[in-house]
Amino acid sequence: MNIDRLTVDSARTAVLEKQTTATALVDAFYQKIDAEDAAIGAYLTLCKERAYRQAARIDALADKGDALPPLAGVPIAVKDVFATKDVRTTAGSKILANFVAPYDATVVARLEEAGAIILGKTNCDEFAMGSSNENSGFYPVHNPRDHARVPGGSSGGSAAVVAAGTAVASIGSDTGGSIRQPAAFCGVVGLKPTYGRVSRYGLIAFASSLDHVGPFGKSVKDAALMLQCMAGREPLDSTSADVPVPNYLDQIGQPVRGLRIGVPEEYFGEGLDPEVRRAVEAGIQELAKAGCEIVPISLPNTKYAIPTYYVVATAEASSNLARYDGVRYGARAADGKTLAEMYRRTRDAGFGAEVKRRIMLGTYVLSAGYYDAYYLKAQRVRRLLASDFHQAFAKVDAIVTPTAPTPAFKLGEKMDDPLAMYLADIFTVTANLAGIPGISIPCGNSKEGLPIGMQILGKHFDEPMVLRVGHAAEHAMAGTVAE
Amino acid sequence: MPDENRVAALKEILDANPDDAFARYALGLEYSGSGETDAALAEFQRLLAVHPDYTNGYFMAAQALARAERKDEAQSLLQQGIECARRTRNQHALTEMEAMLDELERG
Repeated sequence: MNIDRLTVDSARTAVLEKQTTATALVDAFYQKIDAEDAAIGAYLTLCKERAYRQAARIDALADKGDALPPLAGVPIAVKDVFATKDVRTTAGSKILANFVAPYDATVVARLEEAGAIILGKTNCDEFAMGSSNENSGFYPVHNPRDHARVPGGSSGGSAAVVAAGTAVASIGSDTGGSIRQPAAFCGVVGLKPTYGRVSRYGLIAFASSLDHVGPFGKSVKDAALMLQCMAGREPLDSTSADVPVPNYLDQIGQPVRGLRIGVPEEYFGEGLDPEVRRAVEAGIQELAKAGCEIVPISLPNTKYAIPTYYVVATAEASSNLARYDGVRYGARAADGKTLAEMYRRTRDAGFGAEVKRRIMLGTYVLSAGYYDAYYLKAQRVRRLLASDFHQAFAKVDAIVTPTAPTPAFKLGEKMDDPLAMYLADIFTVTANLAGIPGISIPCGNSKEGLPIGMQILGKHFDEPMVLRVGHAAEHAMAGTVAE
Repeated sequence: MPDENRVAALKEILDANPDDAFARYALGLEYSGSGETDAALAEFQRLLAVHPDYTNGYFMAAQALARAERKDEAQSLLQQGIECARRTRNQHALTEMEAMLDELERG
């Protein structure tokens, strides 16, 4: 069986119809990982024992002729920011290099209950802080489409495994674009649901009011199938929403004629690569041909999104990462003569440069003298950004933008310029600040063959609309890696 | 040099409303951040004359003085700031000012 083009649906069908077994699928994927992942670096840890145990469970169900769960036998990968019981969980950081989680994140447990097989944990920027995966405490990930280029970040490993075909689907976290931007760079689909749609219990926190959990797949349908098994209220995460989970597949293939699609002028201005602009505008034209009404709109406070994001996110990070002190969590550095010295040495040795930069920035904006000037102001601007979307969605059903201003850049290209790196998220942070759902779908390639992503945003909990428009655009453009 | 655009914007707000506490405080921060200690202190003093409970005004004025190595004046402002923080129950600022005062007294 050629596993390169397997989708969530076709993998399950292959097991259901006994074209293969779950165990044989796992064998095939580990052979491919052994042969190909060294050049990409997408996996940090493989969990073979767990994967084969789960495959045997699925095969036993299939042998008995029992009904198979919705993701039965689907080999997936999990970003290494999700707790996985008895498996190393590092968040891409040396400070957690040997941490073995004592429990499963809710999303991991739900996916396994649904029959998915976890092949391993994927590489990421340290504590999910980065836009290129070069901030991993272990090794960078290479873009499967061009090994000289980054896969995006912070969930670069999770995007790369789907693009490389070393997993059928995967999950990641998205605090400022960390699912959608790597999806765009690697030519796959990445979905960030509404804040509260998927439980964050067991997700290693970066910025709790901005962190979201979502899937990667080869198609919009794959993303919908994964989300179906991940979404829903769970009491262990008090921010998970008590909102019924609709049947997301119902929307796949529904006509889009008559839908109003907003195109915000602020996302097509200075700094947008001309090839990205052309590809996204062509995608919008395809939606128009399918009968959508294209409506120019304005999101006037967009220019404040990046500074607002980097105040709020770093403030929350400085608080969340206080626990890595060598006592509560983290590998303790030796030779500390006092408690304060032990804390300092542990954090100095364990954290990388970008994490330290963000902790310091966050501590600064939360300090008494600057709290009003930065943090409180940022919270007020965040409300303005959310209000922009609220007003726009009174006029349109969905909003379409580029996912990132450029295609994937070269490894090392932006590492000396943090501000340039932060701007890679300029079109994605707004959805995190507002908490609305967004998906990135492939919409063509640059002249150099690099994938370009188109982002579709919807109202809170309107994932069905995002998936409906995404699926229509995907098929109109025929630009996915799945066939 | 302070950021001229920000200074001009803050002055415009203060021309319209000279008692705007945050704009006055932010102007003091702009001067302080660029090392213009006397200009910064003038703004913080005007702020505290009108808004004596604006705790962070004492704290930031003390920081500007400490950077200019005017330690005695910094300590005096911190003591006033600590009184203000207790009066206004601003625990956040109180903790940070006490720590700074402790550092100045030790070093």
